[in-house]
This record gives sequence, C-alpha cells and structure tokens, in this order.
Amino acid sequence: MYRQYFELIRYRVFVDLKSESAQAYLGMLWWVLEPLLYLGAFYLIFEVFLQRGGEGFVGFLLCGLVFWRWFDATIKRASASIQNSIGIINQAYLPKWVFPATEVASGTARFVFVLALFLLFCVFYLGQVSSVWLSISFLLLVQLLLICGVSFTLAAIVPFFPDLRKIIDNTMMLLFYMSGIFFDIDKLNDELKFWLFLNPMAVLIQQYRMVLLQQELPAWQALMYILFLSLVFFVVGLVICHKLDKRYVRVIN
Amino acid sequence: MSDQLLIRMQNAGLKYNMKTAAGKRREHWVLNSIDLDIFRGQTVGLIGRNGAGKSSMLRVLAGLIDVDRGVVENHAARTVLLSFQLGFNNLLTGHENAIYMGLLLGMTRWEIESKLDEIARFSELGEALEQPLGKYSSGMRARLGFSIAIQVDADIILIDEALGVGDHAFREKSVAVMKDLIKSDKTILFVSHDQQHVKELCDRVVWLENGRIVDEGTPDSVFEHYYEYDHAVVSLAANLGVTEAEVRSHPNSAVPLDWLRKFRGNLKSQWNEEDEIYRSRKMFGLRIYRPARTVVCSQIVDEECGACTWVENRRQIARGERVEIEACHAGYVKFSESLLSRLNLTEAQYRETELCQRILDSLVRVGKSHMARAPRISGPLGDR
Repeated sequence: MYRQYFELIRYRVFVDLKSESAQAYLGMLWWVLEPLLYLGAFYLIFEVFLQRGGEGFVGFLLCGLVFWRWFDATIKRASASIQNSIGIINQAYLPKWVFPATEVASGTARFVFVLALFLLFCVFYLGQVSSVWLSISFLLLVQLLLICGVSFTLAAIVPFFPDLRKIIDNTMMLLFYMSGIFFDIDKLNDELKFWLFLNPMAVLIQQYRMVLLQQELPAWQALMYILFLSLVFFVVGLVICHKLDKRYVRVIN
Repeated sequence: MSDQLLIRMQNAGLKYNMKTAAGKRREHWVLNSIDLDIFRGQTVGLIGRNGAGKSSMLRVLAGLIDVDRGVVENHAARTVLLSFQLGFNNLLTGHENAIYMGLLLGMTRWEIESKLDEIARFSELGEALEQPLGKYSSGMRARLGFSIAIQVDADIILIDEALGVGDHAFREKSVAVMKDLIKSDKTILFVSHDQQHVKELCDRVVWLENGRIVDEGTPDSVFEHYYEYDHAVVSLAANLGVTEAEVRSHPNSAVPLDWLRKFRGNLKSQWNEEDEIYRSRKMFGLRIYRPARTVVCSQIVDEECGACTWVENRRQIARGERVEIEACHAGYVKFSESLLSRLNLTEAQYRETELCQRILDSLVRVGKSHMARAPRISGPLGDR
C-alpha cells in the first residue's frame, strides 16, 4: 500500500516539474535561472547598492538564502496542499499526509538544483573543497525532517482554519528577518541570541555557514534540539492527518 | 451471482452543519436512516433528484467519509469510486494523465503501463495521446477519462453519472462496456438520471429523496413510483401556486410513497362512483367513461382506444372494455402534447373543458388539504 503512495508522490513530483517547465519558453532552464535571479537580486541590493557587510558577505548571505528558500517555499506550498486538493480528496481515497509529502518532495527536488549550484559557487568563492562539507548531509536530513514536520502539521490544520494561511505567510516573512540571513546572530547580545536561536532555521543556517564557509564541523547539541522539535512536529502532523482523515471531505467545500 | 453480502448499511446517517442566513447552526442530514444490503454481483442503480444524497452515498461507500450515525460495513477487498476526469492536468499529455489518474484510482504503475495500448485503442485517441490535454476537446477528455476508468479492477465499482459521454458512437460503445462489466462478477452501484440506461443495466434500483430511501426494487416498479411522484409534485405545485421544493420538503411528503397512496386515494374519492378512471402509461391520462356528459371526454376515449392498445396490469385491454384500476395517476395534469394534438385542442382550450376542470378542481382540493394538514414548522411553509 505504501509503495503505491510513494509511487504516486514520485510521479506527481515528475508531473509538477514537467508541467511547470512546459508553461515557459525556457522550460527546464528555469530550475536554474529562477534561483539565480533570486540570489542575484539580493546580491545586487546588498553588495552593489547598499555595499553592506564587507568581505565575505556574499557567501554569508547566499548561504542563508539558499537554505531558507527551501524551507520557505516548501512550507508555503505544503500548508495549503490538503485544502487545494479538494478535487482529488472528494473522489479518491488517499491518506492525507500524501498531499504535504508530495509538496515537500517537489520542493526538495527543486532545491537540489539550487544546492548543486550553490556548492559550485562555494568551490569558486572559497577556492577550495573540504571533506567537512560531507557533514551537511546530516544538516540536510535534519532540515528535511523539520520541513516535513511543519508541513504536515500546517497542512493538517489549515483546512479547518483557512485564515491560517494569511498568518502563515506573514509569520514566514517575520521568520525570514529573524533567521539571521542578513546578519550574524552571534554578534548580538546574549539575551537576544537566546531568543533568536529558538528558531530552528536560525540555528540551521548558522550551522550551514559553519560547515560550508568556515569548514568546521557542526555543533551537534544544537542540532539535537532541532531534531527533537522536528520529530514532535512530524508525529503531531501525522497524528492529526490520521485522526481527521475523513473529516476533510466535509470541511473543504 | 452469489449470496455473499458485500455492503450493509444500517440506520446510516450523514450530517453536515449548515449555517442559516441568520448565522445559526443547523444540522442537515444528507443521508438519513439508510438501510441497504448489497450482494456480490448485483448491479444497483441509484436514482433521485439533485441533492437527494446520491453522491454522498457513493462517498460513504467508497470510504471517503464516515457516517455520523448507524453502521456501514464493507466486506469488499477493493472498492473504487470511478470519477472520469480525476486529477486531470491540462499541461500533461493524455498518456501522462492516464498514468496519474490510474495511480490515484489505486492501480500500480505496472498495471497502467500494461493497459495503455488498450486505453489508446478504446478511446480512439491514438497519436493524440501524446498531445497535452489542454488541446483536447471536451469529448476527447471524456473519452480518455472513461477509457482509463474502465481499466480499474475492483470488487465494488461506484459510478457517478457515467454514461452519456462523447458522441453517439462512443456512447453506445461505453454502454456496451458497462454491460460487460455488469455481466462479470463485479458489484456495481451507479447513479444515473437516464431511465433507459438504468432499466437496461440494473437488476435493482434504489430511489433516494431528501437523504432517505423512498423505494427500492425492480427498475420498472421503482421508476413508475418515481415518475408518478414527480408528476404529482409538479402538478400540485403548478395548481396550488407553490414551488416544487415546498411540496417536496413539506412534512406531509416526508414519506413519498405513503403520501402518494393517500393522494391517489383522496383524489379518487373526489369522483363519484359512476366515474371510472383509466390510466395509460404513455399518456398519463385520466378519463371518465361517460361520453354523454362531455363531448371532449368521449373523444378522448374514442381516440385513445382507437389509436393504441392499453396495457394495464400486464394484460391487453380491449377497445371499450371497462377496467377498474386501483387508483388514478396522480401526475395527470401534465398535458401530453400528442393527446392535445389528436384532440385538435390547445392546452388552454383543453383546460376549459368540463373534464379538465373537474380534474383540476379535485386536484386543488386534495392538494390544499394535503398542504394544510401539516404540523407547524418554521419558515414560509408554516404560515401557509
């Protein structure tokens, strides 16, 4: 049974990517072009116009943006996924976690291109490759679990409170500014630091920078906190999806 | 056919919470006290007006939604609700849509791949299968959807308005496929408004109205009651100046068959005993066998008996023979066009005749008493 669902998710991701590229003249090129434009815009603003940050700021900024974007884009899409799938939910039975899981998979597939591009950038930017970089695979796994957890939970409750979508969008914007993408949280005072690092994305971004830009191993204890938090979200999301499995047909109309 | 019970519904009820205009919450039972057993190999037609609860019933049986009351048991290994354009995406090719829809319907990737040739052949789409769905006409989409859906293998197949897609030739083909499906061991429950198809395909018909099962049995008997009730409601509404919905939702109509029986009886008691009431399946005609009194009346009789043989209670009735039937057809006052043309009368002229006046008078009398005897309920009906 689960094989069937994973096959469905796999095909749906293929379909999503394909139909998206079929809509534009440049087709598949956009998977690379779009993140380039996105990153380029920030580069232009901060490095050329504002001339902020000083040496090494580009790498610092991009490292934040790349991983933030994976989190942000996926969660925004996934949180609406059950609600937007009303046509299918009304006509065919699927366990509801399949819908956010599909969005996570498709968001992650897009992210893989960006990540490859970013790693390439790192090689040229820093002029060296380090074996420490391998440890980002663990960071990536933790972030994936976090994304899944948050996505499942939000997707499961949004159909009951559609107004949440607006709150989610704005909360994501708030988090964007609070995750230390443009600034180094470590340089703030201790009290502020404590509060800001409660945000798992702030911790993750800091860890990515440590590994990729400074070639240091990640701080494992900090990651345990995120791992635990992600697991909680993950389980809560799945439990809600399961408990309310057949309520969604009634609610979304 | 076997006696294996596949589906059992006992006192099943499904409710939605509705908000009234005043902002108050109100329960609305889309399905109410449903008792139904379905055995393996049966083909059951589900009829009823829009909003009667047919689609909700299919969703309950497909396991998409749980009932709020009662029990629904489904002993089938695999139940599938066929929907014919499930998950269709305009940007993908017909081929890709077929795979995606197949996966959604629970087929494995391998199963679908092995049936793609068959899908291409049956849908007659051929090369077009590699074109994006956005370029398809609505007929092509329907053909593709139907061709994919019939590949699904399941013990119970639930179908919502399946037939009547595509052009005439394809429609005939799809009916033929449905017949093949039905001849197999599969159990099929399908919703349709097409009397012809239901009669052709089903061995059992269930009629839903206001979320309840009104009648079930052979297609012939259920459809007869169904249309009689329909006509009765239409003529009552027209002659009392109320809407059909008001008649249908009236508390006295809660059990349509009981109501129909009473309605017939009351209507008949309005006539004196010398009158005899006849019924034609084709005309829904009501006649008084007393030609001397009204000219038009005798004309009807002569014309009718001369023109067609009457089939009543499955026997032929000879010209001029007097037949007493159990009740008149309550849905009489829908004027049959062929009747009017044969009488060479317009509807208005016909309404003027004594016969028609008498029928209408009694209809209004009976109808009024029917609508008046209601217990007081909230809303416009209560004040009537």
